[in-house]
Amino acid sequence: MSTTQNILRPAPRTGTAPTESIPWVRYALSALALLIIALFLILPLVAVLFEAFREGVGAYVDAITDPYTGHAILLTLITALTCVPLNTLFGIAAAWCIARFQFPGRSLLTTLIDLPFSVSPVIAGLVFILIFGSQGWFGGWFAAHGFPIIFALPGIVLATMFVTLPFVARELIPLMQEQGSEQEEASIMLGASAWRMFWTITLPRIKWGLLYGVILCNARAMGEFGAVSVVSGHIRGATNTLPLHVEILYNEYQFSAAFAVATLLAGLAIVTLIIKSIVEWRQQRQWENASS
Amino acid sequence: MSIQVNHLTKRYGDFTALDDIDLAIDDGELVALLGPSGCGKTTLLRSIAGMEFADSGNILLEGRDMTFEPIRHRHVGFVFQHYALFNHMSVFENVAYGLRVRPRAQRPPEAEISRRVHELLDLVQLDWLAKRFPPQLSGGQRQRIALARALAVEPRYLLLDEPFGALDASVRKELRRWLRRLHEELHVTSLFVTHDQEEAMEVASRIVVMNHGRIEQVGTPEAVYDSPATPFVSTFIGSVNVLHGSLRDGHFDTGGWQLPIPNADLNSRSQNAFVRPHDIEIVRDASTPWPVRIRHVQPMGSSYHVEATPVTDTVQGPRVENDYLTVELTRQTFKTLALEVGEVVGIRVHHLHWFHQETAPALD
Repeated sequence: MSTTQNILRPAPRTGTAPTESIPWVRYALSALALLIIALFLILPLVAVLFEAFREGVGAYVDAITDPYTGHAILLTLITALTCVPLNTLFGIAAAWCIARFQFPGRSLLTTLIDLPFSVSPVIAGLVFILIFGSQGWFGGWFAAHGFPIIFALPGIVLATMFVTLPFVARELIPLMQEQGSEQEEASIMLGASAWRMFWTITLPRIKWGLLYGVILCNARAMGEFGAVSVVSGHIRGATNTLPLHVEILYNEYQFSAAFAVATLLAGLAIVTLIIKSIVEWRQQRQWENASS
Repeated sequence: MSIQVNHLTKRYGDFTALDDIDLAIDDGELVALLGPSGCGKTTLLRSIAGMEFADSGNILLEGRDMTFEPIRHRHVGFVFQHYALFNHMSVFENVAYGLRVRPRAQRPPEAEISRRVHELLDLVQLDWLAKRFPPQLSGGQRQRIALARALAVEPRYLLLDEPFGALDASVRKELRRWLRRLHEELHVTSLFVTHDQEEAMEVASRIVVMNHGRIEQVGTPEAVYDSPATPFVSTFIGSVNVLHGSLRDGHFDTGGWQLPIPNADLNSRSQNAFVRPHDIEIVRDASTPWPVRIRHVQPMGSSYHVEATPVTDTVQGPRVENDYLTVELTRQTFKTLALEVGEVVGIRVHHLHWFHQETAPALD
């Protein structure tokens, strides 16, 4: 989220703080911050890698190339490839709606979009069981027509979509409100259709914010555990995503294999962070250009 | 290409932005919509462009009712106060945009687009900036590019919303003159919104003065200045001294001062008389019936503004808005008179105007 960038920036100076001239406070605080980062961020990553290779490279490769692991990777990719585009479309539509129009219920919609962030993912999963489970409201009907939702791919996709719904919209709403609609009006005044205006004006102006939201959405979609765990049923080779697969392996005392698969998720997280930094940097540059 | 507005009304909740507006603009005119902020001038402009829809009334372009026609059928070029250039496109692509978004059948070939864009960039004297991006340009350059972009679609009407509002004073002055010359060259029917009366006087051939969603007066710059139709126009266009009193026996009577009025209408119930600062003369004659004391002298460059308080024996005295008169003297006159702050001199009023029936106070 955009607030994380602001936290890292120095606060504007308002007079001289009483502690500012004491060097040891600065060093102590910096050391504390570094210690916390090392303890909570670096150490676990090292531990994952260490445990993954404890029984040698051979065991690591075996764990990664296991057919069940392969299926979990495939399922995670399918889930992400379904959820991310759908939530991107929804996010753009919702942000457009909220940033460009005044209508009754606008602030309610803004609050509702945040709902998945404030509800525990486990609760979200249970809600889907209630609606689509075999004893649920519509579950029987879907199952009878050969399209089971719970303990199947549709349930996993639904739960993941719910959890990742706010990412794109939350990123775009403040950006589009900040930008205003004057350039879009200019485009229409010059004779562009609404469709044309979207592709030539709106999208290029929000692309970095959009990409940032999509990256976060994707990372969460691939890494979601709680909600998916409730609806999937943990059927190996059928409804097991990567995070669930790690848990199963661990519970079966296959520590080395569990950590080997975990390195895949960790690797994904690192790649995400790198892309995220590049996007942030580009976005910053675009804002600087726009405001100069 | 004429614009005609009939009984246009627009409300936002309790606020009336446009109150029964009637306006006719002839082919090839350059007209200013002038008024304080919130007077409805921008709403009127955006309604003509098709960006806002009025609650009632209609808009005719060339005699055809366009009130509910979409923007693209109106052939309007629009210039925004904050330029609204596409920052992610080069200057060339900005100007070419209106040609590129046309339906395939009407889209000119690439060579023709290039020729037209460079022609327009030449017209605004910025062809050398074609490859730059808007954030790299100055405010004045950006607004000229915005104008070239609006002209690229060959609009029949050019609408400008506070086009110079965001610019420095010196750039603004230069662009005003430039816009007038451009209009003389192109003769496209143009309507621009401004809150700056000097700008309206300098650029427009006719001025529409608006206040509280209504049109107060429509006329040439000379007409609105010399014969304002309402107290609001008197005070909004140029500066003016307001005297409170009443008309009596061919005089305007304000607390002991009797100012003669030629051709006074004795039936008028006017309570206020309006005097322009340059219509007052200062004389060194102690026997003048209208003595004043010099309170402050403000050099303005080519002229001097003198603030003078009326001096009287009567208890009430002349009732003057703000308790002082502003007198504008030429540099030459001021030097000849050699006025000192605190001294008492006489005044002569050469011209004053009043209104038959006043409903609202002149100043707000």
